[in-house]
Amino acid sequence: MKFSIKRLTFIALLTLKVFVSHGQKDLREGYVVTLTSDTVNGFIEYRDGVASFKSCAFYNSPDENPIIYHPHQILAYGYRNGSVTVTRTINSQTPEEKIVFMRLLVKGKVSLLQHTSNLWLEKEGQKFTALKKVKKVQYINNKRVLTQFNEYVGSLNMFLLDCPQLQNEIQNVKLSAKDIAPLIEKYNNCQQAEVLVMKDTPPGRRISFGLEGGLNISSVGFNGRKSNAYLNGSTYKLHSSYGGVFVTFRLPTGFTDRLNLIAGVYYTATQYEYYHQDLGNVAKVRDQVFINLNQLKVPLGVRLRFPMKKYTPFLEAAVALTSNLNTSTSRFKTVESGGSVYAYTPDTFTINKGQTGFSGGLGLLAPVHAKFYALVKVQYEHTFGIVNEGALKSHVSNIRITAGIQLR
Amino acid sequence: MKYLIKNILSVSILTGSLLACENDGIPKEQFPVLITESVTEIQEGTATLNGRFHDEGLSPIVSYGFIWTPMQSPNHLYAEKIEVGTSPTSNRFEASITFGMEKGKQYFVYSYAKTDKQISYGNIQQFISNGCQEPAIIDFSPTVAQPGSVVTINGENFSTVNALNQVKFGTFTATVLESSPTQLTVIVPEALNVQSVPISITIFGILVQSDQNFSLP
Repeated sequence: MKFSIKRLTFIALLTLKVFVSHGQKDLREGYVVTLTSDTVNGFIEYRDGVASFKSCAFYNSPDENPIIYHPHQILAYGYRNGSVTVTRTINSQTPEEKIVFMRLLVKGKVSLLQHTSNLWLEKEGQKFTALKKVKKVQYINNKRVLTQFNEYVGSLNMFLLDCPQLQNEIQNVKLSAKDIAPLIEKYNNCQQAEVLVMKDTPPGRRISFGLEGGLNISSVGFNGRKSNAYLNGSTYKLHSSYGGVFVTFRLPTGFTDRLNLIAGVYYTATQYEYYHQDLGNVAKVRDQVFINLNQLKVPLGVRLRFPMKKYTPFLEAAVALTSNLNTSTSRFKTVESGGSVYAYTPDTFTINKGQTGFSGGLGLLAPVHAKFYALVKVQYEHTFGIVNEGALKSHVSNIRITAGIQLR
Repeated sequence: MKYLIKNILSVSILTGSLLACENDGIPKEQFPVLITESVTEIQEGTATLNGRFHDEGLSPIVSYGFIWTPMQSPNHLYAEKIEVGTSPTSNRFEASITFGMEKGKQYFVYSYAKTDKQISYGNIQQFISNGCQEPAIIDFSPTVAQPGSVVTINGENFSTVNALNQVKFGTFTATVLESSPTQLTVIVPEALNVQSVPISITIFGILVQSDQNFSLP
C-alpha cells in the first residue's frame, strides 16, 4: 500500500480547515466588571496559567465574537462559582506603574492576591506588597557568599502584626498560596473581619483514562533491496483490529490547558502480504512474502484540544514505541515454465524485537454521559526497522480508525 | 454545528474513498499453489505425506497427490506417485504410503496438483524411509495365454515405477507396461517355453511369488 504524503497532507489540511473554522473555546459562565463598576454577565473563555493574567476573552453569547479585555480596560472578571480576577496597579521593575490582572485568593481586612506565580498582600493603609525571597551577596571571611533571605516573612509580620498569636506560624510558613491563604484567613478571623476565601475555577480532571479500539490498515515497505529483488514489488495492506487503553495528563498550571500529555498501551496483530513477479519469456517467477506481527505499542505524546461548546476536536502527535511480541515470516516462490509450476519456500529475514516511530492524528471528543466522552480518531503511524539485515531496511505505515470512551 | 458535521462528514467520506483506492490482495493465478509439509509417522513399512493448498487457483483441479523420488526432481525416472483425489474437498490433504520406499534411503517428496493445462508441484520435503510393506500377488488374468500376450496382475504394494517392479514368468523376465500400487500390466515373455510357471515379482530385493501357475495353451 502506498499512502502518498500528498494524500495525507490534503486530508490533514481539510480537517484543519474544519477545526479552524470552528475554533471556539472552552467557555464558562462568568462576568466582567467594567471601569464604571457595572457587572456584565456572559461567558468567559476558560484559561489556565499565565494566559489568564494577560487578557480576558468575554462573550456576550457563545455564538458571538469575543471582546478581549486587557487589565487597563476593566476592573475585574470572574467565573460563576469560580475564581475572581481583579486589576491592580503595581510597580514593575521599571519605575513606571503597571496595571495587571491578579487572582483574588482571600478577601478581607488583609487580602491575598496572585499574579502569575507571585503572591501579593493588600491592606488598607499599607503599601501593596509582593511576598518574595531575595538573594543578597554577603562577604563572610572575605569570601563572597550568595544568601537567600525570606523577605516575605518580614512582610507577613508587618501586615499581620496585630494578631500576635500568628507570629510563630508566620516564621514557619512556606511561600506558596496553599500555605499562606489559610494564614490570611486566620488573621481575618482573628480580627473578626469579614473574610472570603475565593473558590478556584475547576480546571477539569488532570488525569483521565480511556479505552479505544478499531481498524488498523497497515502496510510494510522495504528499502535498499538490490539483493532482495523478491521484495521489489507491491505491498498489500491488510486490515487488523487494534485496541488498548490510554491515559491523558493535563499539564501543570503555567501551560495552556489545551495541551495534554498522552500515553497508552495498545495491541494489534497483522499479517502482511508482499508480492513480486518477474514475467520472463522462459519462466514466470512469482514471489509472495508473508509477515505476521503481534505487537504491543506504547505511544507517548501530546494531545492538543480545541474545546467547543459541546464537542472537542483534537490533534495528537506521539513517539510510537513498538514491541514485537510474536512474529513470523515466510516466503513462497513459484516458477511457471511450460506446463509445470514449481513451488519453493526459500529462507526469509528475521523481524526485529521492536522498533520506534512516530504517529499523528486527529479526533473528536463528544460528551455522551455525565462521566464519559465518546471518542473517534483517525491516526497515521510510521515506524522504522522491522527488518535490519545488511542493506535491507524497512518501515511500517499504519492508518487507524478508532472509537472509544474517555473519562470526562 | 450543521456546518461542522457537514465538514467532518466530507473529511470522513474523502478519507474512506482514498483508502478504498488501495489494492486489497495478491492476484489469483490459473494454476494451484501447493505447500508440501513435513513427512510424519515414518514407521516400519509406512510413512504419511502431508500437503495443503495455499491457493487452489482458477482452473479446476483434476488430480492431486504426492510424488517421492530418490533425487531432487519430481520428474525423475524413479519418481513414485500416489493420487489422493481428483477434486479437493479441503485445504489439507495427506496420504499414508506403504509402497515405493527402500529401507534406509533418503527420499524427496513433492505435493502435486494437475489441471487440464498444467501441473503444479509444491515445495520439497525429505525423509529417510523405514522401508515399504511386502508386496503381494492376489491373482492374475488371463491365467493361460500365448507368449507376447498382456497379463494383468492384481496385488498390493507394487511400485508405481515400471523399472522397479521386476516381473518374471518362471526364470523369464517380463516387460512391465503399466504400474500402480495394486495392479501391474505385463507382457508374457516371448522366450517362455515352459508349460506352467509361477509369476514372481521382486521390489527392492523383496521377492514374492504367485500361488497359482501361469500356463501356456
